[in-house]
Amino acid sequence: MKNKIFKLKNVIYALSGAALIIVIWITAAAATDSEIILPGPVRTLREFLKLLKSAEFYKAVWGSTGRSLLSFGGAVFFAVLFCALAARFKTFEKIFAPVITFLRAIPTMSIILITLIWFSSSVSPMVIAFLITFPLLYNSFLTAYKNVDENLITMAEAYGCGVFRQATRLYIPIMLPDALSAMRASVSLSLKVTVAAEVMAQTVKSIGVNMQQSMIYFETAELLAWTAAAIIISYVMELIAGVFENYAGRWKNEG
Amino acid sequence: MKVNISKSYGEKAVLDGFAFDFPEGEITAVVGVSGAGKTTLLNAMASLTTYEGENGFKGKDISYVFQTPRLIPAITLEKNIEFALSGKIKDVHLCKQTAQNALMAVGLFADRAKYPGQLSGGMAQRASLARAFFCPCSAIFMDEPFKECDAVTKKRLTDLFVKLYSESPKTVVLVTHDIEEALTLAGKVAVLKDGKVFKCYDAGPAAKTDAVTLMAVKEQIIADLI
Repeated sequence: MKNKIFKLKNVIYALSGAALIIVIWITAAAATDSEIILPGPVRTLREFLKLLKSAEFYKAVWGSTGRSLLSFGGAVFFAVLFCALAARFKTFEKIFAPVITFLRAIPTMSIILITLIWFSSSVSPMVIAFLITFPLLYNSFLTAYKNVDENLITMAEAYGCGVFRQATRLYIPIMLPDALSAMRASVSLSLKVTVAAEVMAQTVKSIGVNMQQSMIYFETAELLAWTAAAIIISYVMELIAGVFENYAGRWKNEG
Repeated sequence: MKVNISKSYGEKAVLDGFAFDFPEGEITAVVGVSGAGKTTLLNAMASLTTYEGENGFKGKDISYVFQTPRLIPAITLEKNIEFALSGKIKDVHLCKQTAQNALMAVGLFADRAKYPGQLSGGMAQRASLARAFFCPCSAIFMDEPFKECDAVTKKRLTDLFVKLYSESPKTVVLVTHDIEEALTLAGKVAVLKDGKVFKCYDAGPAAKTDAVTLMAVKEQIIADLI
């Protein structure tokens, strides 16, 4: 019963927050009194429903989502690979550290502009999203690895448990919640960066280019509708990632 | 099992030719003050750290009971026992069955699907004892296993230890700073001082029946350690 009340409270809080945003939006739209500068939520919703009826919308959503997920998947794969190498070889970790620092420090716009020179308009957004999310994931995975209690590792060694067994029963189960938490944060970042890069790269069948075109034609309501679409996709991605995160971290919630 | 171990950390010699012949199938306690090198001794004998000298336990399968249970928090109790057993028992079904038997022996079978975070300290240390005794091994090393427990839990755990040992007598090396515990549980008590075996006392059944003798031995050991 207490659990149900707690969940209901959380829903009420979330809805209250959303309602507050809409109230502020309505107030600001009324104050600006210009549909070019800030259309109201009703107008935006109408544009959004119009988008849902167009084939172009789904092609763009599919394109952008696919690109961001591909680059995210690549970032996860290589982050796991390089983290495993860093865990196994301390020298590798030390040599690779400046590369990560460099990738994290370089301004996002520099990455976008340089990548646009080297890659095509369809590939650039994926490379850019990869370069932004990979160092974050690598650092998170490595930190999760280093946070594994050394006492447990000693116990495993004392009992003669092999490397594979240690990886599957000790390291991965302990690291998974933190790794998935990092992935949950990175998956929506990947989408954001992909959309931004699509604008610069003029990628066909993309949310980014459609947003830009809305802006060019002063179709601000349409622009906000595309933005809403991106937010929903991002939210769904985080939701799915959150389900995995909660499942992997259920041992933290017990006891 | 003969050992003659030296271990230094930099310039400091923690173990300086600790020479002892641990009788097989018996419980031997090693007592010493905090910082005497008791844990270092066990780790060296278990080949968990580098050392110099002779080690009769090298290459042998050992089990280890630590001060804290050291259960993997992210997997269930049953999986924890299986994890430790998997190092020695390769057959998956046999490993699972042995893990279940281990938990049954210590009254934790009903809790096998729980995570370590859901267990009390006493329950977790019971699981740790089960893990050690049911893992096929030549010797069990115990590093102050009841140090973290309150008096009641300690009594329950020592009784459980005695029960498990009586059902499956193995070579046990128990390090502790608790002299009474050493004299109660062990057949021999070695005093670790200045990195060496300072003296060895017989604490066998004959000594245990005589409270006065036991008290005298305890007083003597305290005097040795001062």
